[in-house]
Amino acid sequence: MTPDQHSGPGPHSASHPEMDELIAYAMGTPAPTEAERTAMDRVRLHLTECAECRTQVAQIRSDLALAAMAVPQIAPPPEAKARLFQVAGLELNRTSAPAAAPEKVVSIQRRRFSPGVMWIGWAAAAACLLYAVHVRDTSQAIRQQLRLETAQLIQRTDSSARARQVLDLLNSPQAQRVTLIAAHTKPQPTGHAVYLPSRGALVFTASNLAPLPENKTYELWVIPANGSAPIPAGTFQPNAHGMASLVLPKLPHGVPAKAFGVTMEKAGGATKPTLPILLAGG
Amino acid sequence: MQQIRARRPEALSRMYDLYSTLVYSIAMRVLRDGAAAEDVMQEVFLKIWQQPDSFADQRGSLCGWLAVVTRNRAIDRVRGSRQFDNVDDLQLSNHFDLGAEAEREIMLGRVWTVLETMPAEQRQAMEMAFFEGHTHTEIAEKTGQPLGTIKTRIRTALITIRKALEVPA
Repeated sequence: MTPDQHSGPGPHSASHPEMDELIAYAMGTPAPTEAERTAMDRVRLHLTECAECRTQVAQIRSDLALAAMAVPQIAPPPEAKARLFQVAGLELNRTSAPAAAPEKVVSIQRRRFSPGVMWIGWAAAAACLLYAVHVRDTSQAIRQQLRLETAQLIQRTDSSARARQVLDLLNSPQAQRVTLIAAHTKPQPTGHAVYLPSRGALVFTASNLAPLPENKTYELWVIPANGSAPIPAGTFQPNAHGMASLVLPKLPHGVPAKAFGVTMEKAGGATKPTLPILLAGG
Repeated sequence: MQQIRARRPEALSRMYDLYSTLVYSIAMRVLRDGAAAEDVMQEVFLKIWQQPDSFADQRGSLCGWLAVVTRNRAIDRVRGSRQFDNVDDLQLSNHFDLGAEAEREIMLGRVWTVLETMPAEQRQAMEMAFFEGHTHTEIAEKTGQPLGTIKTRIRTALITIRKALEVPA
């Protein structure tokens, strides 16, 4: 049974909840209004007596589980396993998996997520795609049945391989980085933003950035085209070569940008930009 | 899971090695913060270590169960509430075997394809509801679309995923 078939004729169909209500229940969507709470209570009650709807909710959850599993894969920090075992009061057998020595255990709250981890995610996601293609190719019958998906996945894999090649190049410490400028001119800090407003997707790279004072960070801002307040798009620190990047920071969808700016802020970032704007473009 | 129920730390170690990337990735998708994602990952693994019976085999695959529980825990953290504290009723379909690696990869391939090719507005509505925990009304306000349109987009996105998964393997 697909979700659109649920409201069809059946012995209890007149009293079945709407499919939208079952989806909201399966997702655990909040019910902030009295009417919505009443609707959810009705769904909950109905599920106690309707096996058909319980099956439907289980199927929706299963579909959502796959949607969750399809997110780009990011490996946890290597020290995370040791921290888990420490909290669980267990001794970690260090021969079973790589883990940090106890003296390297630090408070989770003091750590910051490094933008560099996102590169690992891209590579892991591409590796998953390649692996999916490999599994598919092992079965001729499956390949025939999935002909359409194969073509689309191959296209995606090719794109991912190229994207990975580009990212590997941009991220490689061995890569030679040369900026050509007018002779006898000091290299200027430069930023490049690639932004897709409809998806709120942004990749930002910068070079020739000055080292930061202690307890300071650079912060990228999206300046909306509609004149509303600048949107913080993430903080970043340059490496020893003055290079930095931000990949897919959390941004609202559907906000066209008039410009982008970079400011220096206190460590942890700010909600409003602090002048001066060090880099600007748009 | 039997080894986990027998309180064998090496079983937790193996489970972590198998699923930590999946759990951490989902938590990161929702929270976009490494420290918070690790907190959620720790909570999920501690839950299954301390209360192994919270997962029952007949409720579906462990892999799918971990995915949903992780998403729910992460959304709880975003909302600052414990809406999903009771996971006992987390029943997943056994229609396909997410525990079998080959089948899981095929199904994931289909989901990737569907997500990649579905209209952007459908995908956005589903992701805002599922990964960001917004109500339908909130999504309507944020996107400037009518509430009915948002419900239709989410429903259609899930129908599209379901139909892709129901093609015989």
